[in-house]
Amino acid sequence: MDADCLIKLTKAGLKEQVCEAWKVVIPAIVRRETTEQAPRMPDAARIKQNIADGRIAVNETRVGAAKGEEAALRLYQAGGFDAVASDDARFIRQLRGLGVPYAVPAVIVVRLCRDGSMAMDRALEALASLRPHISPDQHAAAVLMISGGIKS
Amino acid sequence: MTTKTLRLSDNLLDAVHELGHAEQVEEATAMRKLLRMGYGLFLAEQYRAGRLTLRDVARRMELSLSETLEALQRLGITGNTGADDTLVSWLSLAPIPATPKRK
Repeated sequence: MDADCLIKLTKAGLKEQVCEAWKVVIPAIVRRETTEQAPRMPDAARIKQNIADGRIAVNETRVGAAKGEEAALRLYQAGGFDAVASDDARFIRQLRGLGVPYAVPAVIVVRLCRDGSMAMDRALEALASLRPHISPDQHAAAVLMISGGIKS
Repeated sequence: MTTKTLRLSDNLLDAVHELGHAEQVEEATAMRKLLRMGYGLFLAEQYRAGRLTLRDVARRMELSLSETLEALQRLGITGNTGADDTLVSWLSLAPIPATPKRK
């Protein structure tokens, strides 16, 4: 998971539930970007606590990447992961070009709902919490997916 | 600080005076503030269009990633991915077995 997605899930109060259902791994550089470089932000404290509690795993492997997205991609390419989680259009363009499976924040909620990890009404509430942090298009598409307007 | 000389159109000068009057600041301070605000809007637009990453914007705004997200929100930008990115995201995950990984 990259920093953009992690911060948005944290601000929306969804990180714990996501970490409960899925194994979330962040590269060491993403930990620095989300905690050490934003010590005054409340979400930084929550992420730090989740790392300390072992809810979020930090991969300390030195991948030689200067940016969080690059590190997340290299981590995925090293194997053992289902997808890269991000909400950055530029990075997503790269992932799409490479054919790498990726999860944007709202799709994570949709997936939790479809997997049965989250009830539909709770998923709609979760999307409402995410709404201030994601694009209107992403939100609308996810609501359609949850309400059955878009089938898998 | 560097000193620059620039030519302003009448309406831009009016804008500088308007801001200076509203905030009770001198002309130079008003100009700097307008430039800063304009640069923020420019960066937000670049982010919205997917030309800059959040990190690129954060570095230019001299803020953390989290603070940058909040600054972008205040400028009305809540994300830069489209419905198409969302749909492709969903479809890219579809081949994953239905049972999610649990710790």
